Amino acid sequence: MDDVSADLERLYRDELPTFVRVATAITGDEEAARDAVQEAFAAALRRLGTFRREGPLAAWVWRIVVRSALDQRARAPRSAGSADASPQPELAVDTERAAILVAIARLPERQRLALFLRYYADLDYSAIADALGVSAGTVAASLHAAHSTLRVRLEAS
Amino acid sequence: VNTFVPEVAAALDAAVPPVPVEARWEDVLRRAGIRRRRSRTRMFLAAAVLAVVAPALAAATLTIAKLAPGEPRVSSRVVDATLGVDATFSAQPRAGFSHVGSRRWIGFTRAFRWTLTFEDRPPQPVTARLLVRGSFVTLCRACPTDATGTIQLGRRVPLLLLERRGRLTLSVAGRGTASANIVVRR
Repeated sequence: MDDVSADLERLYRDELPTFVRVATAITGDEEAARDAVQEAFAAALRRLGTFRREGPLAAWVWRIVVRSALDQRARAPRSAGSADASPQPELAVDTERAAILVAIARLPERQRLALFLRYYADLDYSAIADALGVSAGTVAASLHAAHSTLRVRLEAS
Repeated sequence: VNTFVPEVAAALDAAVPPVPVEARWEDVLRRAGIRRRRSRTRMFLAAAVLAVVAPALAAATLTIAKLAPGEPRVSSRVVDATLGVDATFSAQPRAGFSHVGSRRWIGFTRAFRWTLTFEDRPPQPVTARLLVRGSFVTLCRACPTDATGTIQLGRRVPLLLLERRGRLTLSVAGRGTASANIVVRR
């Protein structure tokens, strides 16, 4: 248990910016994202005994972080809202990027989460599957669908 | 195949650029309701210091004057036969002590309130000092008949030293063994 706890702390210290980045993409708010990540790691610590070592610790933690960020977003008032505004299109520097971001914001949730984990966290399909609790095939299909949608949107713009 | 589309990557990168984030693991521990564990060595040393140091001050040729339930206290009667100075040193933990059994106690603090009481005014100024790993911490200079103060024993092995022309040393060696050593010098 102590070894896993040390691994968890190491993961936190090594990958914190990446966790916060993905959580920011999900919540649409950096402060809320940091809170979500802190809560997620606290929850992971509390539940460390349930980690069965059937997969990588990082994948198990990613699942908790994603859940925590989604919960954080659900708790946030709509006015501060992020559910359909993450990531923020106005942050884009050109219209093509803005078009992509708008298209991403309109993607189904699973596709969006898969995109965030793929691009921000650089996770492979297997790790994304672990994090989202779906099969690798589903991840591949989700990302394929997302890319198709985005490609159409790009061509239209 | 792990697809990666550069245009999507660039757009996402612009949307949520990477930012430096301060790691706050202590906050994670606090949220989890976990207090950071100390290493076994540190815990052993702390336990040794806490459980041994105070009573050891009185252990060898000295007497434990009082060890009442709820009020752990050690008291040492120190006598400088050469100079005819009789005094009593006592130390009492400031907080965090509880009893385990009728005559045992365990502590979670290293801060002790100490008093040094001379039966008669010393004929010469007396300096009481705490020797910690070769460094002295002065308890009092020209100590009055009733001197008092607070010492933080820390993680070190303490030695109590009453020094004047004649020197009385009470030492506590590490790892749970205690010994008293009286040195009188002219």
